[in-house]
Amino acid sequence: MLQKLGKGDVDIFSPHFKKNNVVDSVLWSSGWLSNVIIIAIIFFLFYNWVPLFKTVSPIEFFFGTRWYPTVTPPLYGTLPLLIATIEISLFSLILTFPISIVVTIFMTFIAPKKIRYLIKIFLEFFSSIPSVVLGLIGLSIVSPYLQNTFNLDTGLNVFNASLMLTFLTIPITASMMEDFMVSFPREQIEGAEALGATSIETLWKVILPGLKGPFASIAMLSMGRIFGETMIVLMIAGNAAIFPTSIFDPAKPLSATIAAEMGETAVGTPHFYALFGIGVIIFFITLFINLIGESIRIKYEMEMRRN
Amino acid sequence: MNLYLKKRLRKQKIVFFTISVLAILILVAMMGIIVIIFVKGIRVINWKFLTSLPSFDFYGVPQGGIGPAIVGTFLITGLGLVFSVPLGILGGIFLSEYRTKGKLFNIMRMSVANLAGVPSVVHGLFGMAVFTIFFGLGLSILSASLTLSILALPIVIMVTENAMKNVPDSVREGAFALGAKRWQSALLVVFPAAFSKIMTGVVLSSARIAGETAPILFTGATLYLTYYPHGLNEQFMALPYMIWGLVTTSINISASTPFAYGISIVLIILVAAMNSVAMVSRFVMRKHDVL
Repeated sequence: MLQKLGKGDVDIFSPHFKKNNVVDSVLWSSGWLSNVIIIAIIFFLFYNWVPLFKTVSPIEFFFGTRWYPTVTPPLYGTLPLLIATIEISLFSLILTFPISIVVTIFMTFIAPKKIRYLIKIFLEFFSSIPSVVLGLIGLSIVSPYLQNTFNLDTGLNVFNASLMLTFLTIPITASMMEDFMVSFPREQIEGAEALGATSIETLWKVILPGLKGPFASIAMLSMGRIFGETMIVLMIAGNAAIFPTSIFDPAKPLSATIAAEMGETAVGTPHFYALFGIGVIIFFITLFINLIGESIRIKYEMEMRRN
Repeated sequence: MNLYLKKRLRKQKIVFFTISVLAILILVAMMGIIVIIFVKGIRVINWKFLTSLPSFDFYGVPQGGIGPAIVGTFLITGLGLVFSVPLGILGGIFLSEYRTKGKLFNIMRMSVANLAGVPSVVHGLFGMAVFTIFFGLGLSILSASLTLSILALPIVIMVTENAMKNVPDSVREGAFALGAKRWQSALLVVFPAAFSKIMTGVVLSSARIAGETAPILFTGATLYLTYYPHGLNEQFMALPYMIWGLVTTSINISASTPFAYGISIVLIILVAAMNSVAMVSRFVMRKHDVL
């Protein structure tokens, strides 16, 4: 592997390294490009958020319970939006996770090879369907259905949004799980089989416990994906900035608030700054979730390498 | 076969049967979504729908077509790729070929993963703050495609990195043995070997960019144009944004919904086409794999 520096190799990060030529420098700087962009994102989000605190106190912004940016005086409390986002993400994750496990087990253990290949292709295709299309389904089919069958005031609610988000994340989650299932160490499976375990026992007692780490990281990564998803919640979460008490209440998640209100907001008003503040909240929470997911995955991979 | 084993095998059968039924139900539901879209939208699709300009009659019933939206989607996706693919490939080459164990290198890799995890609505905010306002590009095709290119960049980097890593080390060692410098082995030997795989990944990621709505919401997309855009500094229509507009802001939603389904069909066919291009090239590659 190239990871070990051999004699004659140069550590491009060492202070003694002289970039031999233009090509090395160009590659080096494009490697850093994502860092530059992340720093720029953080800078511009804060740059457009901080002026808000001339008019609104941080405590009111983070813990205020009412988001009414268009009344006088405007209220910029983001707590109900945050709660709505968390409720929708958690509920959707609770739906996504077991369903993805079932689909993965079906793919890897039960389905014949050809069908498994077809399912893989289908999942890949389904995962690239734009989320706005799922939003359309939720809006024009699921919502009237929910409203009629459960006698609700509105079919645009937390449940509907979580359900469509689940369809969005199943393909990604299942294919990540399948990758880990397939690359599970062969010796351990053979060991269990040699001891006389049936395949379900191997699955239950060897593979699934062995994959606890990766599955936790997959859960975090899907959560990060759901947390920032915009179009589905914009279209079908109900757009009401209240504390959702049941899953059949309408809600207004963070990302939907930005998407719904940014178009009608003048640049440089407190409302504009507050929407950037919501962007800061989404950015840092997803960053945090993704970092946890990544670190679990890296830890697991290092363990695997050690074995 | 003893009784105990029989019992265990019966248990296995029951569990596997339940799992199969559940999994098939879910897959059928997912296929059902696609079938519903086709059933509901197929009747609005004809040549006029695909090519003519949009128009609405007095009652808000959409009459014309989605020509500018198709053009707009292709423009911003194409331009987004033009900006992101070269830079992303260079970054991916660096991550794969100049691997070291240093801390700085890990930071670099982490930041690619983190940039890939940034929600699209935050990309939209960033694009608006930087391209539309700071650089003064305004609401335009250019600022939207630059925003999309930032969204695509980490995907291209990761695709390139993975494709390059899959090239066996013996290829690099061969190049080094012939006296190649690191950049020569990376750009002239490993990169050509990984090229078709990288392109497959790029095609797949372009399907994702084409369907994004949140990043273009505040960077230049508009719901209604009566002409095709003439330059990169003009506003544009886009397919996914038009779906959203038709079912949430239209004055006659029930008449607009079939139209939205029609656009969904176009988008799904676009995505399916990109997927099959990727699939076929993958298949061909496996047959002609030299390495």
